[in-house]
Amino acid sequence: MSTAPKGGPNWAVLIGGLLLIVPFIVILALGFGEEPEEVVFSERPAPDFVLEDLQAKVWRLSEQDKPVVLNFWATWCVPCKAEHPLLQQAATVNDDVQFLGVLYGDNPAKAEVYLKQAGGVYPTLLDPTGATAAAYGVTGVPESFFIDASGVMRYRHNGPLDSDTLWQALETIQ
Amino acid sequence: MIWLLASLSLAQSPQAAFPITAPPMCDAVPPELLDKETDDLGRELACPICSGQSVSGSQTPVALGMKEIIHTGLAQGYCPEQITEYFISVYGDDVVLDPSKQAGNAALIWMPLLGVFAGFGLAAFWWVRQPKVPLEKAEPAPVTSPADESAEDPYAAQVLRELDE
Repeated sequence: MSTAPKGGPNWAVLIGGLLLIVPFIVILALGFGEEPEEVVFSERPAPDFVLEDLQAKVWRLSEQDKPVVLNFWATWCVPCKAEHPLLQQAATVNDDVQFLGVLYGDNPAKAEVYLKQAGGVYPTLLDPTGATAAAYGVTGVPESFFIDASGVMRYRHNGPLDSDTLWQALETIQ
Repeated sequence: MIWLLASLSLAQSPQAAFPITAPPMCDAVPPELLDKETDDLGRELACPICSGQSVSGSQTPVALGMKEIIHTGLAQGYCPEQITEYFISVYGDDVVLDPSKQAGNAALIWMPLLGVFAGFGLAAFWWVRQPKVPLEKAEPAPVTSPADESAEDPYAAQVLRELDE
């Protein structure tokens, strides 16, 4: 019966294999450390926009001289309606912050009817092409952006705001 | 209808802001080619809220907005790469439908194939390095009897003992 060959490792094969495998593992490891969908969107200049509100008044972000809260919303969005009273209250209390709603994928007439019923203390802008939503990286509503007076985005919140989150976010831009 | 006309005029207004602040690096796409080139770039980008749909193939508000940005950007002389980079900055790497254009992904795609070829290469190298012994000159393998094997292998010896019993 034969016995297994004895001797040290085959260094050429070992080193060749390592040279092939190690870079592959390194690239995989680096990839696992990244989240493809993660986007660091805060702490950067907010994209400028020129949009009309429901009363046909034109708003340009770069012309605002105070912090801005930009809230993308729609009447068909239930969470948007849930956070609506909180935003109205915050806008009433914080005179030094400009709250702006942006209608997302919705009919302005429906928004007007809704705001008459639920109250609207701040303007709702129209984004008919959706370009402003795309420029901000909006993926759905509600989504809110907190922009300081110098036009730098300080905080972004995807989903309905709760009271604690809203006040903390406001502190980052005041 | 009035609202639609008003919004279209606002969207096409030269004063409308464009999100890319860097200067355009390419020539403006002529109007007759704008729709086609917008569609071409839209096919390379994923609709961020859709499942497996490109920007060109989607009618969601986000995809329509992205198409508008592509259209405006190409008309203003922004390169497709500049526009793609902007969307990566706001939506992440997943917005690019063809991942092989990114260096890390390209390596992940090609390295296993490279490994297979390298394996074949090593095997061929090993085969070439084997000493070639002509068949007619090859020494016959020594014939060993079970008894010889048992002398070397304690397990074989035990098997033989148990067979004898």
